[in-house]
Amino acid sequence: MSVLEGKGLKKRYQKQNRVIEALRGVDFHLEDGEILGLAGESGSGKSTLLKLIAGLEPPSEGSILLHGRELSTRRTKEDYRSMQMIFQSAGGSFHPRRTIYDSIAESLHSLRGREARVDVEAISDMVGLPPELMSRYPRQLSGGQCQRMAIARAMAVQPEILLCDEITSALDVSSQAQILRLVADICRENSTSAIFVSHDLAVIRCLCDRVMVMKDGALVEEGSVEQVILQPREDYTRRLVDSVLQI
Amino acid sequence: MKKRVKSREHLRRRLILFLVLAGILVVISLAAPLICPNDPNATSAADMNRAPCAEFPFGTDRYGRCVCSRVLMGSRTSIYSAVALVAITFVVGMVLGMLAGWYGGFLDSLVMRLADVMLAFPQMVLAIAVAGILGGGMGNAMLAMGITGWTLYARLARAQVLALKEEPYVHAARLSGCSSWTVLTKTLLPNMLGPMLVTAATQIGVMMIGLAGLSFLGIGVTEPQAEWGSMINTSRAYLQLAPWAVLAPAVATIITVMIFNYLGDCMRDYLDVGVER
Amino acid sequence: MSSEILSVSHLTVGYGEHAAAADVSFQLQRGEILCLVGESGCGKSTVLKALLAAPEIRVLSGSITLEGQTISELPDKERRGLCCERMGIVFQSPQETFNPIRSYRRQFIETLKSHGRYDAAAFDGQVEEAFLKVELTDWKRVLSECPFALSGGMNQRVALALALLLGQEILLCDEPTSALDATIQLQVAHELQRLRDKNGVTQIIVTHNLALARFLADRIGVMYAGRLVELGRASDVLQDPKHPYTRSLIAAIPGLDGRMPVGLPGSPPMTGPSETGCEFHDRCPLAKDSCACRTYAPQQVGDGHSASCCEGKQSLPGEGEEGRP
Repeated sequence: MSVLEGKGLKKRYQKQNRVIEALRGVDFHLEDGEILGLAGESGSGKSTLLKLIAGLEPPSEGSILLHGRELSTRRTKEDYRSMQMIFQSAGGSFHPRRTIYDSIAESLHSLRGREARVDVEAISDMVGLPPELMSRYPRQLSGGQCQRMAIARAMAVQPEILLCDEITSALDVSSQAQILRLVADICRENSTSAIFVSHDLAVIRCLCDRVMVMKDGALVEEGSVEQVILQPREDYTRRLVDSVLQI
Repeated sequence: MKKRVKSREHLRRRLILFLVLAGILVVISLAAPLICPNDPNATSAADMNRAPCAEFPFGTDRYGRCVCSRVLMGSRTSIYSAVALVAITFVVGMVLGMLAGWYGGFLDSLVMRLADVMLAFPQMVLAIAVAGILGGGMGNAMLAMGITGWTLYARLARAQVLALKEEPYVHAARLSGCSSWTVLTKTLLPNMLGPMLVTAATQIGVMMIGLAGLSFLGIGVTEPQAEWGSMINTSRAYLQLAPWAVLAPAVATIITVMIFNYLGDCMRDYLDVGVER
Repeated sequence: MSSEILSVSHLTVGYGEHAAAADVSFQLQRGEILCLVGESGCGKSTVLKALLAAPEIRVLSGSITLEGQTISELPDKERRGLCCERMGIVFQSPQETFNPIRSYRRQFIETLKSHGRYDAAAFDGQVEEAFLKVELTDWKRVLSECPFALSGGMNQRVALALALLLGQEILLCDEPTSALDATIQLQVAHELQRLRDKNGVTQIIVTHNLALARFLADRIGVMYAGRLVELGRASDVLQDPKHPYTRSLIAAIPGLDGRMPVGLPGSPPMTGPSETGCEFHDRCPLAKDSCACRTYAPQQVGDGHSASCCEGKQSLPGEGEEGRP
């Protein structure tokens, strides 16, 4: 049984007097311990799909199953704990007026109970940062450091699934490389599954096991990264692969 | 960088100055009964329309009442009712606006349409109508002004919530399992308060003038209660004989409104510069 | 006409007194594309803005020579006029180049008039020709639209068309493809190539994307903390990098081969060049004690290839590791 499954997911938005179909019936499945990539250009619906999975917005149609159990629109705390999300804007995902420690503690206490101890050493060690950084404010940290802290906050509650929404797109190339390596290591060491959204196929190639290519709210192609990227079946996928500029 | 820090210091000092001035006004109004030179309600046929002198620092009005004492006592009515009115409309408007912005849908439409209906009437005209129907008295005058007053804060709060709702840290808070109430009060509210408090401070002056206006028209405070607007109304027929009876409350109003307005400006400038981006 | 069109010599520029880029030297040959590559805070955009004579940038020392004329010594207004006339600019987002709510037709006409190149009778024909060169066939419709109504890729192509219309021999681009989707990025990159190949437009392209530089550039200059640490032909810099930073930059870029990229600890400094010592030494895996006090001195390491440090000949720790298990 898949860890996470989505069936017939559709999402419609009302914009002025037009209806925008951000997702047009997407199915997916995530297996235990695997990293699934969601690739596509802007407007493909990949971020919308992630928001639906995370529970930030309800689907217009379709269902999401966690360990075979359908998730309702009103998620329980346990649901939230099992799936944690990391956002594109590293500093923006922390409350600007609270220290990193306070933000992590708040999340931990909310999802693991008031008695949960915030192990500063262990948390910062997990992401390779000095513990003193936790007493700083988000604006005092660099983009890469903030993103590491965001990963730390997510992993502190020991989720089963990590949802990553373009987490390296706003970072410098060396910070990006550090974060990719960190996510790979953390998922492997903790047997955490992950869904990784990125517009950059090269990033997906080096991190993910499987990839889903999306266009205009629908799934175009799906398979292992080697197969989809090295031997794409669909024209659109081939075009995407050909557009990747390489060193 | 150096220039920016210097101007922030300068703004801070200005803010403190006006906070102190506003504080002085509040203290004066609190201490009014103690510092009144005479009984504000004591009429005296012998002292009608007397010019300012040692016994009556601001002279007397047509009933021989000490204008200075009435101005001091009137400060209580004017300042307190304006501040109370702003406080009530602020809370009501902010709560409605936040709920409308957060939940959207039917609640949003309801609150916004209600606000639209209120704002379709010119504020003072509606206030006059309501106060006239309900009869006089400060309570009814405040209600009359408050009926439209809340819409300003509601719109502002709603706009802020809509803008902040999509910020990643708000998403992160929701994904930490926080209830809507927790997110609204602990995450959103502290980020919204700045601009809203600035609006509120500026509105104190507006409300004060509005209430004074209603009293001036005779549908606010009733005689013999001291209130700056009604004092102006009472004494304007005798403007040429006893201008001090009109000038004193008018100048008091102007000074008070200006101080609160500047306070609002200073708060806005200080917070604008200091906001972390 | 000599082949050297622009020359920058020991240029130090900054906002106010503090230098954002120091001792930058390079020569630009006619018809070539030079890519200035580096991460955020390295000063590459500042150098570009200095070339354009942007009002907020001060030339603190050094010189800029345009076709033999030392323009950095000219009074500001004259220099700006000369730069506007001879150099076109394309920014990352069209909002920075164009007014988003005015139609392109009006903005084009205004720009042409201010350059003294507006010919009412020939306008349509010239526009059509320029748009065709950037593969915009629906030129009439595009011209009547406002920038906000068009996509990022289309706006960039319109910006390129305008540069063509203005007949500027040098095009300066600041992250022209960063805000675009991958497929559109490739299209715009092709346009820039075409501008060089078919129209002989000389270009300086500032980008953080070394892969884009590989695709487009004839020569690459790598910048770090306000210093030009390596400069040379694209093939030399990419295949035989000398500076450890260049090498680490190459290793940090993910490719389709599945290799996990290697990133250096820490992040690039935002403070600009320092007085003494190599700015990279605190992050450099090959740093020696002497690096903390050495002075910046680029050396010739090959034909047209210079670097301020040659330790990068050795491989960095972690390079060549396998990707996912």
